[in-house]
Amino acid sequence: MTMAGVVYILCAATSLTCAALLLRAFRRSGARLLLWSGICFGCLALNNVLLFVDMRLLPTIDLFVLRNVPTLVGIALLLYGMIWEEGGARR
Amino acid sequence: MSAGDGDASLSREALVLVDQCIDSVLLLEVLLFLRSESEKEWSAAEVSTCLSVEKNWVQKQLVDLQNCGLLTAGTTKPVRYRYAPATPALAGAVESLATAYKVRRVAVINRIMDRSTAHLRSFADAFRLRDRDEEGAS
Repeated sequence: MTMAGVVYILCAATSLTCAALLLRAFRRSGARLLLWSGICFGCLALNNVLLFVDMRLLPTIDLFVLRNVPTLVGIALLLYGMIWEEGGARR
Repeated sequence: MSAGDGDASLSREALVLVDQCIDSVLLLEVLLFLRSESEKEWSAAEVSTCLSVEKNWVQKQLVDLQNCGLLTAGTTKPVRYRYAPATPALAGAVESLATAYKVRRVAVINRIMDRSTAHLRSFADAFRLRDRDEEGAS
């Protein structure tokens, strides 16, 4: 495996670890910002997996749009959490 | 000294009130001002003038305090608010908090500041592999 492939996998593993830690913290504390952050990192992990598939496993097929959809969804959910959830958290 | 030091000197009612309704020291000042002038109804503009703070900010705080059950709102325009806790327990909590703010001001301010950074701290703590308690024990 090339160095690029290793980097793609390490990025996916890092994102997945962050997602797991954030969701674990959400389960403990119930702070909803952690939930949105965890989902966002989960989406980033998926993006990195698709990046590996695109570049290494299926180099003849262009997955650029498909692999960026999870990133867009993840960032959008994080923005939603930061803007609406935090603003509406006050009782 | 950590932000949480001195919490033990605040009553449970006061702590709950801060956690649920008071997210800044200035908001506490607004609440205590209205409490001290509870015979009168106040518009946001009047409170703004008396406390020298921005009117739109005051308006939002008054609505928040009303939603917490600490103020009642009149039906006139502009809306005028009066300090009127919805329950005796809420009134007791405000009294307790007001007393604490007089005699243990630093503890109250620390508690409010602690609350405002709680979200950031929970985010940072998420990346701790072990709990603080476990780290302290080892």
